[in-house]
Amino acid sequence: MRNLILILLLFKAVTIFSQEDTNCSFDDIARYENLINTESDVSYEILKDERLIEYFYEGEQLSRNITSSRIIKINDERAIDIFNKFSISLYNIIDILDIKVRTIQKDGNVIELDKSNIKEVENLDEEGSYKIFAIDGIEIGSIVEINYKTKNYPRLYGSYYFQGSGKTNNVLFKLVSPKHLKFDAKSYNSQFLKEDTTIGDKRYLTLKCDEVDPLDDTESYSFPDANKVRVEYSYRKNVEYHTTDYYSYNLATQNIYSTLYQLDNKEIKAIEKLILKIKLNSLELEDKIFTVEKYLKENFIIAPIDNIDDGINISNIIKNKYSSEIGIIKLFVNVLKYADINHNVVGTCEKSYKIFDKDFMTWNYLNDYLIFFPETNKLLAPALIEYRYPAIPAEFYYNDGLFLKLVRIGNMENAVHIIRTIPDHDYTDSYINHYITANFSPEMDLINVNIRHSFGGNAAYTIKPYYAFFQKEQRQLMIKEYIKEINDDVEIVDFRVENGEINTNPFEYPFDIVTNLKIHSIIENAGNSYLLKVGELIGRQVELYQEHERHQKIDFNYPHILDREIILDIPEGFEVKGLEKLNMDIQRDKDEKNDDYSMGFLSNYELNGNTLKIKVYEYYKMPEYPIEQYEEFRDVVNAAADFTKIVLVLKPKS
Amino acid sequence: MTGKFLKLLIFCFLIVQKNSFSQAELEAYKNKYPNESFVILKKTEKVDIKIKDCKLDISIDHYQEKLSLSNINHDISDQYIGFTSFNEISDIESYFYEPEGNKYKKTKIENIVTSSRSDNTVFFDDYQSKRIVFPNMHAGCKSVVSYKEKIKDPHLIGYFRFTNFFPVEFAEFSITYPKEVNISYKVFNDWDNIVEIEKQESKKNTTVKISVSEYIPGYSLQNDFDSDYYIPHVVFYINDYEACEENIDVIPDLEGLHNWYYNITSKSNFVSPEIKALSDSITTGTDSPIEKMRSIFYWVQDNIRYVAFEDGYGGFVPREADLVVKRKYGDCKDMTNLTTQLLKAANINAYLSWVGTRSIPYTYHNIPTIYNDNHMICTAEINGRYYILDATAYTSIDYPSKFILGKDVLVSISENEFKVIDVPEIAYDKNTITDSINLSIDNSTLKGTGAVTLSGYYDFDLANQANYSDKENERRKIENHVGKGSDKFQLDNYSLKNFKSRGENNIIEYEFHIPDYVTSFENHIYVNLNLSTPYSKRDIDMNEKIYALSLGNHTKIRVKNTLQIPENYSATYLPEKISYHHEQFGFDVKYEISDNQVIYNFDLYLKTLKVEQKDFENWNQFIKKLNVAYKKSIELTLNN
Repeated sequence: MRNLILILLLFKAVTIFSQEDTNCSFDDIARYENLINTESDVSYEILKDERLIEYFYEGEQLSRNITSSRIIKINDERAIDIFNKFSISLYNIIDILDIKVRTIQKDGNVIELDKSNIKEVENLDEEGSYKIFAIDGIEIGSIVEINYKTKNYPRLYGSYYFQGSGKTNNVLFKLVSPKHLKFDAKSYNSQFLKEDTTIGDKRYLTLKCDEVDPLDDTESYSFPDANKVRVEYSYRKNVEYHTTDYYSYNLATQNIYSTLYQLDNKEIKAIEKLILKIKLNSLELEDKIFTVEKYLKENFIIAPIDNIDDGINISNIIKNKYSSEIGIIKLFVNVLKYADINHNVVGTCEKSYKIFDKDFMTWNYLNDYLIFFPETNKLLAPALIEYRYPAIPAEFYYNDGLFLKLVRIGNMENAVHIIRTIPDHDYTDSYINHYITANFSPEMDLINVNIRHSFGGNAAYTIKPYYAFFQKEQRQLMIKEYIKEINDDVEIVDFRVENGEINTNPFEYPFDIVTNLKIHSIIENAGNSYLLKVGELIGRQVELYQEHERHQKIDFNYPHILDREIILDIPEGFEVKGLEKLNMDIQRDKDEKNDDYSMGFLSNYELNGNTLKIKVYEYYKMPEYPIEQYEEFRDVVNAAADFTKIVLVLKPKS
Repeated sequence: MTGKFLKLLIFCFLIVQKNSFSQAELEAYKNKYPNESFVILKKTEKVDIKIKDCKLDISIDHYQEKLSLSNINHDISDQYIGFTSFNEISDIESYFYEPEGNKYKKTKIENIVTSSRSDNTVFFDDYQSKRIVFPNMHAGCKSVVSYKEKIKDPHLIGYFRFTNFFPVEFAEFSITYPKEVNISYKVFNDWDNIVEIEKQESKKNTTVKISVSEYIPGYSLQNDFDSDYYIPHVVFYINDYEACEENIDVIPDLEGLHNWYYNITSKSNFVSPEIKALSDSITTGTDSPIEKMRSIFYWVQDNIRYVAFEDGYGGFVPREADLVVKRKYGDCKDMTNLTTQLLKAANINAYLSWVGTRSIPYTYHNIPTIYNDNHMICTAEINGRYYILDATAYTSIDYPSKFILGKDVLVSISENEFKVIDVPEIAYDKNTITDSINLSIDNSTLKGTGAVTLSGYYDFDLANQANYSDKENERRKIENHVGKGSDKFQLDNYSLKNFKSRGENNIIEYEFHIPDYVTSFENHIYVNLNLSTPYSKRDIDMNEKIYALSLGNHTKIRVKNTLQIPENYSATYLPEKISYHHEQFGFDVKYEISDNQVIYNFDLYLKTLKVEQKDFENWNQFIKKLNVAYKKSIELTLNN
């Protein structure tokens, strides 16, 4: 979404502002003696991590230099592999002004980077170029210092992470600007000491933190990126012109509006012509939305437009049949607007990436764009070809977003915004259900199983996008692999998929895998009795059996339910033992007022003659739980895994 | 634009004219290739070799025409043209044909994006690709792409694939060369005799045309083997040529390939005083050549990191050993050269050597080209025995790296001498997992203490992972390795032995318990002593066309679980012995009682790297029988 951001170069230089006198010179390692000599059990320790951002004038032009300085102590083999290669993204960078890198080996020998070994990788994976180099001489116990200074495009916001799998010390974020340009910065997930002062004709904004612990990014049910310690910064105002913050969500609203909605007459004509082609007359609102989306996603794709003229001009998009993400979003909103479909553009970001902060405006929270329909309270993801209204990636639900509403006063159109939470569907609309009927082979060596595996609502998108876009052979392979996950030795008799096509709405028609299987490993024989591992019929379940200290709160993408029903014919001549284990009731997080729980696992059974019917119901009503509730959450998750261990005994009737 | 190229374009135009009944064309191909998303209507590659200024001038004309047969093709609509510093791409012409009524609407595609690709194994290479950006290719849409390629080094040509996965109506590879030039070629994987070869000779030139028509690859996407093992393709190379009254060799034969390799590596193939000093310091205290070799090889493994740079001839030429020592990193060539020089400094015969990993189907004897190899190693010779030393892998001196097992190695002995030696497959009893556990029952929990001993690749792989982990990660890795029974497995304690030593087998001593593993009702207790079920899911799907099943290494697994029968109980049922034996794979499971203990013995062997189609049925029987064995429990009953 970088194209949306209009860089303001209206900062008139009042006096000549000089650049801060910084360079990449090496630090005095002796200053870190204490840290170096302390034993540590992490792979590496960052002794200092400093970022200096300087805004200054070159003539009338605002410039930005960024200096990054880090010193790393290497403690093990893994750390060598992390730090012996280094790359600097050239995205947003005009020039690298200086790079100074050295390794101080255990014996005190110092090896400096030979700059002739720096290579440039052009346009890596179409995401911009990189400078890369390997760092010489790294060994366990060595100290690596990596300093570099870049001249960057004068973008007015940014962010830095200060947390990794090693420990970080002496974190410093410092932003220097001409006195009249006020910036703000905010730390997340840790307390920083913040200072904002002016000295002479410069303004200094610093945030400091002495220690940041390592973050275990492998914890399940967590969003480590969003939980990492970071600093966000953004321009706010020119104190000589503005009384209130100029760089604000209001400004963002105006910029988004003008980028997306301001069309020339030719573009408007092209849109109107396109709408006629889509044929929306006489459709109900939701059908209109669906028809527009289907048409646009089937006929226009997102592709690079760097080499073509004005690739986000509507007329060009319609001619080329592809555009950038922003071009495609522009096409969507204007088709909706000129087809009189009421909608709000929503700027936001994935909650697994960053939690939208309504109190601190930065473009970083406006990475992604969705379209909200006020009449239905549902959304559409215009830039994602695999999603169809009313589904959007679950990573967006529950994060806040900037909702833009078009307003018209006379002939003047504009946009106003509100910040609100992106609404999810009801938790019962997203489900992974199993309907299973099973009977024994006459030889009692396997069971014949029919399973309907049903993915509803948001849950359908864990599988459907792949299926829908795969070719025939890939589809078969994928579904087979999926079915084989149920148990060790399933023999697939047949299978089919229902509602697998991309245009089918999984909130109404779940993505269903229906299959007939022969499963051997569920029955074991022991003498004249048989052990029936009935719990395994619901497939493998996630477990949190291993004890370890939890570091992050519990997050998952969307609340949901898992409903299962197993109907099993017990063969003649046998009686079933151990049925009482099937009664389970593990519910947690009780709301005393309503006598209601927010998560739980319930199972019970009925035996009618030879028919055993087992019902299992699991639910999670909330998208997140605080770390204090980890044990409760674990109880419920493990209850499902415990269920899979239930074994019944079939004994010949005596 | 050359006249020939113009002709080509006119020819294409004619094809389009002829086929301008777009709907009919689509229907015809849909019927012909009902399960496919694309058909390649025509793919040609015309190699033109000339002699210019006493040198070879090699250019290739590429042409490809593709028809979409289905609507969802957005991720495979675009065309990519790869290049490195050794070839030059020019004159790209591409067109998009969209059905309009019964005709095609033709649009020229101008949007071409050049980019590099990230690669997990290579840190830097100069490979780039040009992406030709097409609109979404719905069913019936066609793309036509043509371009010219200039080859800068005559050693570096010679590979043509008729198709990748898509069916192809017509694909032709042709090569035109003057009388003064000699070439060789070989067609691979023409199982069904579909490849046609035609040779035309004029006074000045010879043209060889190699083509296929109406070919559907039909192999499963799930194949373990690289498609070069089964898709028909051509490999060719230029032997030599006469120019300006001189005969100039390119790759006349295997000897010629060796000469070329020897020449480009000779500059860094020497022992410097610094390397001699380093070698002395590493080998100090021993006179035994084997011990010296061991110390040197392990030193390189432990002190030099694998970081690959594939930059122009840097992709072929090793860096000097001194530099690699100083940097503490290098790619396979650098590590090979360093190992070789250190060994030579210790008076051990050591040689730079080339090898292809198992992803490459060719051997040096069936064709000598640069396509045979993608890797370098050091070969050392002591008392007539060859040691294949690959410092990029973590192994002892007796084990080659796993990814070259069964391949052949080109060993450069001297300027005029070379040898091709085979990499052994390493026998099954050298790659073993031996697990021995004492088990007891505590209500529904199964408790165990025991030790697992690993040898060969099982030893190296786990030791390498553990050595790369911090304490927390090490625990997870060990847990994964010894975990068994169910996901409730809890590792209570463990200790590692010999993990830092490559010569001795790794031993993990461990204690664990598994809650809810034991089933009991009334007077009976049931326990399944198959705590691990290796290979239970490795059956081959006979509905998929699979070339062969690939196994990482030969394997021997031996498990002995000894269960203490609880007091007042007796074993009332033990499963009978189950076996399966084939010369390449098999197993035995048997149960015995002794001294109030039930002893479970499991033995499994795999004596091949590759299970071929003819053995698929047998393999599946083996897996099926394994699964039968895995689901047997013992029954213990309370004494009356």
